[in-house]
Amino acid sequence: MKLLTQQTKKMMMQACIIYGLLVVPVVYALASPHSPGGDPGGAPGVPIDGGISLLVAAGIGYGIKKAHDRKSNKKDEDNEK
Amino acid sequence: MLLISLLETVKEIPSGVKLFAKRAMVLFCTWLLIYYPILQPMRLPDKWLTAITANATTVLLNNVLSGGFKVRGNSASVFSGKNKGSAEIQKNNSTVISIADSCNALKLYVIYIGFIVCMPFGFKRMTAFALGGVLAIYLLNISRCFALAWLWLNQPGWVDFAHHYVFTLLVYSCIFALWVWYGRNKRISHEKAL
Repeated sequence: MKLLTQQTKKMMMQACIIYGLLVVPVVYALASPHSPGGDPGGAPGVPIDGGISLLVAAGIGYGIKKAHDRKSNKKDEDNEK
Repeated sequence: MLLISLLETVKEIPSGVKLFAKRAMVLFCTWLLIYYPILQPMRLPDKWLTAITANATTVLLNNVLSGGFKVRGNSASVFSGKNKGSAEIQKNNSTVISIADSCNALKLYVIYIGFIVCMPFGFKRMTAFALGGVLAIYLLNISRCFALAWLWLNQPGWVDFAHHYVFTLLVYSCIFALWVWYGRNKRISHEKAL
């Protein structure tokens, strides 16, 4: 039980470090003000970069998962050998 | 004590994850250093990308809906102390939609390709997905602009909701689906790329 707690702590700490290093600066940088385009009260501007930080976060999360899976697969293969 | 614990934790992060994170950080810093101080004020490649997006949307509007749509202007204006440009698609001298630099999907292309570079699966696969994905995002963005113009002409009350939520979510979902497709059933070959 103690080991599980330590592992969980380590995993949480790793997740926080990766999150801090990657997601926070990306979100901060992309949150800078930008022109929405369009006229006030007139035709719409059509920016596509609203909420782009969500896409970045999803990409980073998926990338980390794939990189982690690769290591697990390699370990499994080594064990089989 | 906390610093030592932090360093030990960093050491225990799997090497593949570390490599992915390093690449992402390098790409992100390069983007910050090159785009915002140098390229954006010069509107490179924003001006060109905004122009081809506006022109392609106009061609689509003229072919699918009745003709008479044309692009007016693609010049920079000052917003929040920065040069920002936009091209307007007009009909009968009335603006239907305004395609600003933030609408040309440049950031989406960069993020999409950035992910592919961070997760190398061999040169052929990377090139195919990078080119195919950029083309797909370009076509999606034109379709989105076309749909917003149609909505503005026919159902203006739906424009805000479609623009802020539906189309944005749709485009982002497609990009994420492309990433998943790219990563499916293939091992990450970091060693190959190195």
